[in-house]
Amino acid sequence: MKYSSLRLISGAFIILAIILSESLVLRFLMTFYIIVLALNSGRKFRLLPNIILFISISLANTITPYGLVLFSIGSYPITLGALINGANKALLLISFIYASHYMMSSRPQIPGKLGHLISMQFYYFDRLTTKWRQIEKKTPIIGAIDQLLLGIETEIDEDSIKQTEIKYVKTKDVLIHILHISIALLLLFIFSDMGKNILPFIAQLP
Amino acid sequence: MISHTKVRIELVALFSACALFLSTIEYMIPKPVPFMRLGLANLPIILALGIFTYREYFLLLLLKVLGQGLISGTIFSYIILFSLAGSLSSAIFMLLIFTLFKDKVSRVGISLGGALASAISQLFISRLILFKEATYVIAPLFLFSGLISSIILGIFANEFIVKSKWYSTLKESKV
Repeated sequence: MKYSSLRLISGAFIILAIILSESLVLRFLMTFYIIVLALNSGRKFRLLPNIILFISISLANTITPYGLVLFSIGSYPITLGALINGANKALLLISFIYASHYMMSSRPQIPGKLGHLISMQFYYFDRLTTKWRQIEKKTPIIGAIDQLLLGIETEIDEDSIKQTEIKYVKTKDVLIHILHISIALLLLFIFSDMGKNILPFIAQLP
Repeated sequence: MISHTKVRIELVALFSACALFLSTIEYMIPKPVPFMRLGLANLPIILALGIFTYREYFLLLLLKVLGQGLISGTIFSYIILFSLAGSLSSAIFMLLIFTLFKDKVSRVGISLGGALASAISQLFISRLILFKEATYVIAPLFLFSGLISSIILGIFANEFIVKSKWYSTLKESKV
């Protein structure tokens, strides 16, 4: 088995755990965990753009008022439910981006034709999200998209010429990835109804 | 040497990644009403007309639906049914318009047709399993928002086809 496939499998499990997590605290923990994994796999992380993304999505969600009114700006109510909902969305998005960075960091190949297609889709998605941030902000939208797509095509051509060294899995790698999956699933369990019965303070968290 | 099939597959993957990317952007935009959608991820589907074979086109569609479900976290819920019904009906209708009329209908017309098909099929599913009679209450707003967003998307697709160097290279080379 290739090392890249191992990352793909553990990443898929973590994505599953992220999707299934309903608590904001759990989603925050999962996001933090996947960012650490992405960093460990050699990807960059910039705090400020992610904070801006988090705040802007959370605030933008206040457009749909829901739950307890915290305060009002004029006649515009800022509600707790909408803020939590927005924060949840922002964390899902950030975690998904870093999960794909982590999974694609060594360009894995899922077996089969459809598998190959899905691997390629995530690979391109990874390139798009990385390259998008590098584009000059003042570029008109169509020009920016063009620049992005032309840039990616050139990169892919160079990539296919460059034959990357294939790294195969060792027992230690398997154990480490089992640990990653176990941590994600354990967190999911702790925040589940069963987990809340064992650790009652978890039930108090948003 | 890279085979023709491999290039085609990579192109489908690139289009589907664009759909995934646009789903991400759409996900960041709040909706005043939960079911309202801009349909940004439909842009690659509109642009794929005339470039992909039927098989590739529907493959792209499948990847778009799965990607959207993954991004929004609805992949394991019944909402994926709405997404699938809407995307499938809209894609079939857009393909039909494009095949029958070719360049006589602009991408605005194609996008509008697709949005209409998508809205009708989603309202049908909604009537069947979710909102029952209340579907008629949300229907006007749902159709109206789809109409507006599809016109904007169609205008953008037209502009993109005219101005994009990447797209014109793609069309000229016919891969």
